[in-house]
Amino acid sequence: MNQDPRLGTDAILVSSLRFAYPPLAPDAPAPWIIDGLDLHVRAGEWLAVMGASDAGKTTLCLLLAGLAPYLTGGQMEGRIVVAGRNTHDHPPPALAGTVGLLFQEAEAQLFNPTVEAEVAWGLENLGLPVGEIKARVEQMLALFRLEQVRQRAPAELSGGEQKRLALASVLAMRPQVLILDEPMGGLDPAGRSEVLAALSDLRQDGSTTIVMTESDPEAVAAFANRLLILGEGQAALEGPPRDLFCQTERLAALGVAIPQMVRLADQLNRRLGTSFTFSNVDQAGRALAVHLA
Amino acid sequence: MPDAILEAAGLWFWYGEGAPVVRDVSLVIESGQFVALVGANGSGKTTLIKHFNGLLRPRRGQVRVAGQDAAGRSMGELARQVGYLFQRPEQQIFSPTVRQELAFGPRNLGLPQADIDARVEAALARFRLVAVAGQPPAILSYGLRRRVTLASLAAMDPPVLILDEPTVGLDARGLEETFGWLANLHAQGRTVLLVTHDMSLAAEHAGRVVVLGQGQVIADGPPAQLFQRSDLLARAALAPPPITALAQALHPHGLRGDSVTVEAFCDEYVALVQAQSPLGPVSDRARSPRSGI
Amino acid sequence: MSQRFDFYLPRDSWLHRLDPRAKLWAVLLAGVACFLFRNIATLAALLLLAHLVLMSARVPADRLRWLWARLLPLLAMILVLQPFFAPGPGPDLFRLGPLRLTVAGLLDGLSYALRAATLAFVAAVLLLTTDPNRLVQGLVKLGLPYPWGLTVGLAIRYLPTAYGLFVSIGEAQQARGWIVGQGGFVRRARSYVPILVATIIASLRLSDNLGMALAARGLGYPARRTVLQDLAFTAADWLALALASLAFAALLALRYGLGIGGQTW
Repeated sequence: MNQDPRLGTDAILVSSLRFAYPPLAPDAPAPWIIDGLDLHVRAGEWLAVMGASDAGKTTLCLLLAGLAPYLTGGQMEGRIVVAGRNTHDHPPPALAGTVGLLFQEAEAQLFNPTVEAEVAWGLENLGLPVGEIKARVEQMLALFRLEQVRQRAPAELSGGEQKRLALASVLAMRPQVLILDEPMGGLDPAGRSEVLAALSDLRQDGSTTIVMTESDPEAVAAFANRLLILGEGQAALEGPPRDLFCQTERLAALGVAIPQMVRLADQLNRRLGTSFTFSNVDQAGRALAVHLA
Repeated sequence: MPDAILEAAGLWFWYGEGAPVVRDVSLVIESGQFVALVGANGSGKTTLIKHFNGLLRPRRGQVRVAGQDAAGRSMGELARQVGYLFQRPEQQIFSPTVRQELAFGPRNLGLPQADIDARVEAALARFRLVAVAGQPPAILSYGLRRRVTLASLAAMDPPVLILDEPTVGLDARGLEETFGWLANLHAQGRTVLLVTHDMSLAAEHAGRVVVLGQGQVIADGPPAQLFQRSDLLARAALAPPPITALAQALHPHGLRGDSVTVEAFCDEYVALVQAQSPLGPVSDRARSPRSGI
Repeated sequence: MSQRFDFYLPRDSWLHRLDPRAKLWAVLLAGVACFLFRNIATLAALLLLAHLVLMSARVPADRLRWLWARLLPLLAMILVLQPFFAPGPGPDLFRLGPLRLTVAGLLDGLSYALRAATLAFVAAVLLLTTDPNRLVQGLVKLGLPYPWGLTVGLAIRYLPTAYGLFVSIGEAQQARGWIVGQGGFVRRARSYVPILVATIIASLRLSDNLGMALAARGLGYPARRTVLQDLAFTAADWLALALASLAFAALLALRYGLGIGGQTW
């Protein structure tokens, strides 16, 4: 990935973050879900966050968007500054134009009667002029190839279309930071390739900083230039995905799946003494063909 | 000769007045098989399997469970034979404690209390839920709730298990746990029918893959064989696992092109490399313990 | 794939095109009219009128049938219970201990049942032909704070979702061997408990997530909310308002001026 000289502005700054949800009863325990996390994400970076299912990935998304502790309650220590704004000082709606959050479950975030209305809804909340809203809606529908279904109800769309719609609705608000919570979750292969294509377009654009939690290692390998693996509420591993995926035992211990291609490279390297570093099928095909020749 | 435990003969089904979702499906699953039923969303997989526990009754055709016609048999009776785990199983949770949740199924089967208690304790231990046995399952973390639903199914101990997309939302550890348990059951002679659109999973665990497309069976056979048929997979809107795609891509270089696991591919590739070596075949010291399916 | 349904069906008809505020007014008046009258013929006429209005708005017959099917148990209950609980004056048609059945009682039951049916179909005139979002917009333009209006709209939008959850959870519990909907009334009611509890829990989770999604996309942003497709009264809307008001005035005159319609028969 190219190092842009502009990079150096922190899009996200997390210092000494700790967070616990409110206890279910006054005397019940309230464990720290995030227990000491520091994070710097530079403008334009794409950070992937992986970890076991209860490691705190979704909680981190909610914290970065300012939804926790504001709407969830609970105790927070430390500081989160996103695009220059401290989440502590702003209620989540005020952050809406700055931070966008894509939830895992489409059902709970698509609630307008038509695709068009859905994309426009957030913009209406921002109080933008009608002309501006119309222009952005057109742009988003085109970008995510949803023009054909613009009058359909979101519930009628396929899984992949729904995810694209959710992306369009959030991106219409032009957030500087976009947080995606398991964008590949629950999709069939057709849906996955649709969303992968949409994310790829997003990547080309490069103007948004993206934080993505994912359990699908193929998506992480394809898009992220940095990977953070959470374990017990802390940063267990951090660095370029390629480097991290090599640490197969550590990842297995942390409950993280490894892309088949990376596993293959690892096994071949051990048995043949080679140093393959491919992380997708195309790269693997080329490298292995060359080696055979 | 193994008995047929689940059979569909000329099965047709449509909802209300709609178009047929299952068209003329005839399928025989023998006792002790581990079958993956794959297909894109909307191919009719869920509709088909709902006939095996009596949730749906055929519009045309016949369904037999354990050799007897399912028509006229109540769901309660069929539940003894066929255990079913739905998509989003965590939604079925309703009991005040985990213990009671696990006891629900066995109690419905009319088992004696001592038997129910034994099963519940065994399931609690098996799925590491002893620590939370007295807590309300609804407020546990997502990962724990999924384990509770698996344990609920385990407590019913049916001879046939049908799981509808069990991997959605599971992390690497959850996947390992689920499939470890299924493999165990399979080794004990239970029948497993896994509905999934994850081809890697189907390849790794199932001895037989049935492909559904637009409500019809379009392929039925061992995974390795099936993944060769790219035309069929395309028709079903599926893609082979990355490792198989790679093996096929390297077919012109001498690979058979039918690997379905990383280990199998590795073995084949290493053998090929060593056969090419001018010094003659060299035995490799670090042989991976698992090779093949 | 299970079927989804929403109350509102988009169609191109005069009724669909009316401003929701006009429809709201007309429906409110019609609802009040239902309570003014006990007369069976008048109520039947109102019921028929509601049907005619719905059919002229190209609402498909199966929607109407669906609503009737849902109403019938309630209507049957009214028809059967009302005469026994409030037997009218007059000779007994039938007697079983303290329970008396009279012609007046039967007619009363019919009157109440018709009223219930008419109210349902009057509400349907609004809900089947109005986009929930437009309805919300209408209420908000009338002065309802936007978050409240949104709540109404969301409740309507998520009703089918909650029902869908109920159905799929029902299936899951039955797959665990639980018998639903059989036996005597009490047993049958209890059989729904595992399903209802699980549905409520799942719905609460969903609504929690929805709340977060709403906030994340700016509900409550400190700015005046724009409306992309604003509502504006057209001549048709004023006409509808006028007609509805006149009709109501006429009904009032009939009822209180001429004293017609107060008697059940």
